[in-house]
Amino acid sequence: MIINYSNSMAGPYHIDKGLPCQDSRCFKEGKDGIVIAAVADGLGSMKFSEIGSKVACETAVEYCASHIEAEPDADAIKKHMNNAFVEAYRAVLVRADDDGNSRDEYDTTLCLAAYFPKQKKLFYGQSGDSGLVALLEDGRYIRVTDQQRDEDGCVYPLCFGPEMWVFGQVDGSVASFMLMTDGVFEQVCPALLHREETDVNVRLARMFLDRSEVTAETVGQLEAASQKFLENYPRKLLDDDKTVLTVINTDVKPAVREEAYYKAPDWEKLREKAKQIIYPPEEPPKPVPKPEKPAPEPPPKPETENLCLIDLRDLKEGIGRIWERCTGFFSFRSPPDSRSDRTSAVKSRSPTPAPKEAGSPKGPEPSGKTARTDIPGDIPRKPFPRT
Amino acid sequence: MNTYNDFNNYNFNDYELESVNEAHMPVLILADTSGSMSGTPIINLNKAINRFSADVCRDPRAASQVDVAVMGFNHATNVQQDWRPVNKLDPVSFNAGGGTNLGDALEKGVEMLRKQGHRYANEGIETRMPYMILISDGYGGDVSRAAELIRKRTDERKMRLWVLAVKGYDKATIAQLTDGKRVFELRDEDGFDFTEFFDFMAASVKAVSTSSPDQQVHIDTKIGTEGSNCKVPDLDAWLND
Repeated sequence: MIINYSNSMAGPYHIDKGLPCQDSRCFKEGKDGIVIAAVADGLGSMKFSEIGSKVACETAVEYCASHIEAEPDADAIKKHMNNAFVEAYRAVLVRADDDGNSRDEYDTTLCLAAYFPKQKKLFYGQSGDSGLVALLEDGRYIRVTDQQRDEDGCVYPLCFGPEMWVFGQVDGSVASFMLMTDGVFEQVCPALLHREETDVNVRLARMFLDRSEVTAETVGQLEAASQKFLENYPRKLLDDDKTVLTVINTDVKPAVREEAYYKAPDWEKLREKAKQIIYPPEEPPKPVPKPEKPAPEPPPKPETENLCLIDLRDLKEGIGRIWERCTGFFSFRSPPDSRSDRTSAVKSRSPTPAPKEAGSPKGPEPSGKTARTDIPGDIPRKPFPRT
Repeated sequence: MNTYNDFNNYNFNDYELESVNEAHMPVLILADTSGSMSGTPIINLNKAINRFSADVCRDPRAASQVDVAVMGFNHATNVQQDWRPVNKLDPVSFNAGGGTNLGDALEKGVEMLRKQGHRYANEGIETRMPYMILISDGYGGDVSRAAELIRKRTDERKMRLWVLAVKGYDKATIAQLTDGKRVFELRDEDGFDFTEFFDFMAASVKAVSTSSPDQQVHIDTKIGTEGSNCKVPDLDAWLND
């Protein structure tokens, strides 16, 4: 049996200012009991983003519910999910036009899941910095998605198109999963854990996900308890809008792992570790040169000077991107030691990114070259600052 | 099987809340230490920067989120203190001397902010609006390349440049860098009392570093009012645009 429960509430600052929660979530059962769920986070800086997130969420879920067939064929599902993103984005633009407002004001992220309860298989689509965490039948908690942000930490929302959208499949049998917007996701998968073997805050995720005893009669209590928990989250720890959508397959009883797995990480130690990375090692101050005569005009800089700005991580990432483009396969920008078993090789971007609906009889077959301009109204965009 | 349900009864309250994500705000202080700053100006500048860090540290939350680096420049740049938490900032003691290469210093400053932002991003740490605080008379060669770089980063809301223009400053150069935004001009007779400006910057850094996502920031300050030694047209707009 599939049970779902969800919570969504405006962040304390939005409440203070009388602003709405800009997050949305949507759940629907499709053909043969396939579960389709999504969350979306309207960009805080945008005026009508709560509408954008709602339209995107509902459109994507509706599309998948009516198109995804009972057989979990990875390629077909990936196409349908890609098309769902296209439709979602198109619907957002149409809504903006109908409302007579700027399309920019409706920007949103989108995180979409399609779950096959019989096969215990989970597929996902990701645009932006919301996220998805799953509890596997073997008792492991895994972070399924990465947050899509640029080198300065600015989010890539839905309007970035197929070039940035990511689709994939979870490796292993999934017992339950939760979709979250970034505020909650960053509590469940905090940055401090990104370099750890288990990069999920298991204690927190477990409270939402390890609930296989829940029934249709008791799910209301569970939902109320989680709502209260999130409402009471201290503002200084989490001031963003909060949205979680949890789906539990009660027919799957996840294994219980050794006790240590559920223990809280040593946050203090992790914080110290992070400090060593974000602060460069101390060097003695250089003596200030004191010329005897006035300094001459500085010589023109050689064109190659900027080369020294490249650091090894940039280089590695750059090579990774080139490789992805060459092979057509996509892999997440994962930390170097992230576990390779998080998702399977199906976690690929469309080998031929599909600006039009994949498999659509209306359009030509994708040419293999990304053509973002085929998305209606699509314009080159900059990632959005989170502050 | 002993699942979580059996002993928990839908109670989420046994979860110990921890600060697992802390945003960081990088603040780069870029101080002109050329010969024209000799004497009182450089003494006042040292005092003002030290007072600034002490002031930010009075707010424990800001103290844990604000990272500072201090770079002096004359004809060359000198990173006196590389990135560190504001509460670890050592007392600053610049000496003045030499010519000025403002453009080079600004470009290096932007790069320092950018690299620190990358360190945060690589660790998944949220970055609060990076600040560059420039104290200069604006003289020191061509700044067009730096101005372009700063304009791009500012338009993308990836940094803010605040300028304290000292007495007799080069208005054309400062205007090129700032488009007239976030420039403070000193009214006092000597034009070298930096106290009010740094008090304001401390208040601004505290407010921005501890603000909510999308929050419009407002600071109650005497800066810009009658009796203040700083001339300011529209602080709120400068803080939030």
